Amino acid sequence: MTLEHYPGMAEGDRPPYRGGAGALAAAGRHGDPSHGRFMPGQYRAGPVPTSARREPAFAAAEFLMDYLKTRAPFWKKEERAGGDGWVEARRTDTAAAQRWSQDREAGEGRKPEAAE
Amino acid sequence: MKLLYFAWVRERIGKPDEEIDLPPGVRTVGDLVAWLSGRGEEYAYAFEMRNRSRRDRPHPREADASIAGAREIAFFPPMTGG
Repeated sequence: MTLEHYPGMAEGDRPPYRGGAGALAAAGRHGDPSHGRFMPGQYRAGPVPTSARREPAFAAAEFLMDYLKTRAPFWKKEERAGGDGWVEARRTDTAAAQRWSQDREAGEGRKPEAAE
Repeated sequence: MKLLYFAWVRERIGKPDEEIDLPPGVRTVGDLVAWLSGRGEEYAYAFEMRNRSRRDRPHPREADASIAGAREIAFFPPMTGG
């Protein structure tokens, strides 16, 4: 897999996704490469939110994954036996990310409904 | 003005970035895409997919967005995450 990114955009401060951009920057500082070619098993990344309560922590992990799948300036190219290809955006990822915006309009502190 | 290309947009155009002198009359994103598409087959090929994805996920004001004052414009497919 090859991961390509747009560093100038990833490091920007773009509310309301400051948390997401901060997480990407933190991954870089801790030595996790945020781009390049990786062999199977070589690349691992994931959110590690912390909270005094588990519900906000789980919600934060969901939010961050939805952000990474739709708003983080990364693109993945997979090398497969049948040919290489760029991973395409999925409507389910877009729908999952949009629920956070709807929740922000409805009010803070409530976990949105799961995406269809 | 600096233009940046990512993922398969970069592959189709054949370069990761370039510096251009913006022609007179090119004022919006739509103007820029149309002008770039006319520069060669590789550009037309790169932006034909962009037009299709815009119909799938319409952003009516995207093409009309002004590029006045922009120093850098990036073209890329929908983001698919890390």
